[in-house]
Amino acid sequence: MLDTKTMVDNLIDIAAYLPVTIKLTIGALLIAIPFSILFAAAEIKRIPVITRLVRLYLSIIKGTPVLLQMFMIYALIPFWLNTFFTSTGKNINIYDIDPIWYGYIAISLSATAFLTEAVRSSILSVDKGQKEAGYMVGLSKWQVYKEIILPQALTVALPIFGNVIVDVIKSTSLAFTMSVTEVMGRAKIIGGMTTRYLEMYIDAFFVYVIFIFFVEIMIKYIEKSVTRYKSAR
Amino acid sequence: MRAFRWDMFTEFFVKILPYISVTLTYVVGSVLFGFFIGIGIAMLRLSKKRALQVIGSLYVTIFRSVPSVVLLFVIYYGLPMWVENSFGIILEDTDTIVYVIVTFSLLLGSSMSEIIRTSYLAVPKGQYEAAVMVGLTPFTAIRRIVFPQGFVVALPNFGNIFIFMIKEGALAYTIGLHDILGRGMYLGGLKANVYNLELYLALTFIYWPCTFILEKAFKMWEKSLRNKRKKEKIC
Amino acid sequence: MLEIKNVKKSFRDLEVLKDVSLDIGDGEVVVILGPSGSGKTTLLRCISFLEKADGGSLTLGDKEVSLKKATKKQINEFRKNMAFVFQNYNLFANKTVLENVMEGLTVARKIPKQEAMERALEALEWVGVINKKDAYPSELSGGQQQRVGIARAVVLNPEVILFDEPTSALDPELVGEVLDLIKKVAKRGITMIVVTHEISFAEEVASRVVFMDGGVVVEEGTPDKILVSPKEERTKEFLSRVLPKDMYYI
Repeated sequence: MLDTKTMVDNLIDIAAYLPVTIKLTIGALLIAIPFSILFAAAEIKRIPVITRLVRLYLSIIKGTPVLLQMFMIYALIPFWLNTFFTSTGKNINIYDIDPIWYGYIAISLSATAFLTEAVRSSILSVDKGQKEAGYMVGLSKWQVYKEIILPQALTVALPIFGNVIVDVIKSTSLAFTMSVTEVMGRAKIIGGMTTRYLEMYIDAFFVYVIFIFFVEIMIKYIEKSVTRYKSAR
Repeated sequence: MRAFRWDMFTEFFVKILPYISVTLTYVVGSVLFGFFIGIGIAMLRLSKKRALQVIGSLYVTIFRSVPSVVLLFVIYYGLPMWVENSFGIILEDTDTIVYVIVTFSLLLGSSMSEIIRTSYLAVPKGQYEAAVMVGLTPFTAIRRIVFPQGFVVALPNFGNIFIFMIKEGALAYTIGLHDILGRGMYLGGLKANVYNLELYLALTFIYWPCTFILEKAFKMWEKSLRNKRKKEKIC
Repeated sequence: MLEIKNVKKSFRDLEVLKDVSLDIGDGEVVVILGPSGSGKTTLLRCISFLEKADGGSLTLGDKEVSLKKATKKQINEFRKNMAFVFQNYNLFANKTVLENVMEGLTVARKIPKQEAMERALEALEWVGVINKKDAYPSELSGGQQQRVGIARAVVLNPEVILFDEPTSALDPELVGEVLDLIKKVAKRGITMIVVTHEISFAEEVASRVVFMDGGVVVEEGTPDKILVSPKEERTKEFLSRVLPKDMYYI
């Protein structure tokens, strides 16, 4: 039978790890945002070799499981760092590095890929005539982007950004495989201690569903306040 | 740093390859059952009864927000308990893959319902009305006129669902299923995880072509459907 | 004042402009007529550098520039003396009506905000949409949008305004009012090149009518000469298709 008492008792304990989930999400996004802007620019401008490399990156990252990417980051980065530190004679113990850093990097890989797509498609969604009209009133290329294209692209991008944020939150639930203790990790730990796995995972289920529900409301609110105008077409 | 062992890479690659069939099994199974759930939920959301709409939206909201791994664990631990309590059947020897398929059918049901709903709404109402007015029954009108048009709209999204499923299904490893990733991790463990670089690369070169080919195949299918329709227009 | 020389342009294998030259005097209103695909829009887009020509040159005042090899700096300089009115308006979707008209003044020409606003308000008053100054383009009718498009062009005090089928995207009942506004612009003595399908407009406003077909200027002259007694067979054939007069062809 479902042990509802243990379930209720530990709900707060598990929810208390939401800050770690949030930290992972924000950290990964902070890495992903600048890269995705650069990558999207490279895709739109079609710089010979770089655009190819960006496409290759996007294809591989979008084509492999996030779990595999996490294993790679978690196994290989410490290994390479260790080799690097020992060869340069620095006395740094890689086990002193907080595993959350591997979490940031691993999650940012796929976040970058999806944000790149969002940035690229939202910029390309702005009608060509907007750019032409900008040039014809005498704006420079940079001014056209700053004044006309980027503000319009932003309103197209925001709902997609919202989806990416939700996806990133969901993928943080895999960080326990890199020994980061966030909501899911905590549920697993308490599950192990109480052997009440199901109850703990149901707790985690509720924590995620409710948390994401509020995040989505927040995103909708931001969307509304940023979008003052409706697109003409 | 040690040298990269190509022989290990090849060994992993060859030994993992047959397990594509396991991955494909749960991909096809989940997409299939997910599709049926999706139709059901889409019908709820399109129904005229307010209560049914609410149930439909609630389903979508919940299963859109839950991380796959959380649901997988809930199903893995909860399903046997629930079945035992309600039906008195003990599920001890059930194949792990069943839990994977149940989990992802539930999850895909939510995204499928959205795809089905939006592509249904994308077909102008006049198409259905015209079909009924030339004497087709409502069912035939949907089957012969509305469905083929909605299908073209839905196709790219179905492609994405398959790709999502190949990747996300890798979570099955966490409950011990030997699919592509699970088998790989098992083989890596047999070598005491010494050759993990080779292993991960082998896994990458199995997953990546799978999703890549699937993506291209769906694009081609979509293109051929659209071309066919263009030709019909000209005739 | 505006001299267009030997403009050539091809899209892949299709030669859209085959050596087109036009010489336009100060304050002239030149209306370009021609069937679709005759290259008239492409000509406007080439001399405003929206399309890179394969050859030809442009002289505005005492400055000459190659349409093919113009540098960014030259393009900017030439564009500051011209304005463009688009077929589908192309108002900046993220800016209000007033901001649309001010944009070229404040951002491109660095005119102080206060002065820019006064000039923009004056222009909006003049085109008759002052009551919509704080609306966004998506809230306006097509006719109102094109009025703002014209205000955005006029406010820059350009030496020449290029109109690219300014009424083609409008609902039939709105065409008249926008044409009236363009006539009002013509009365201010600004040099204009207007690509249009409105024969009656050409007859009434043009100081010169240019008939283009197949990428060349077939004939040009006063409205009387071209519309009433054309010499060329192609012109006659085109006119016989689009007349009777006083009907709008969209």
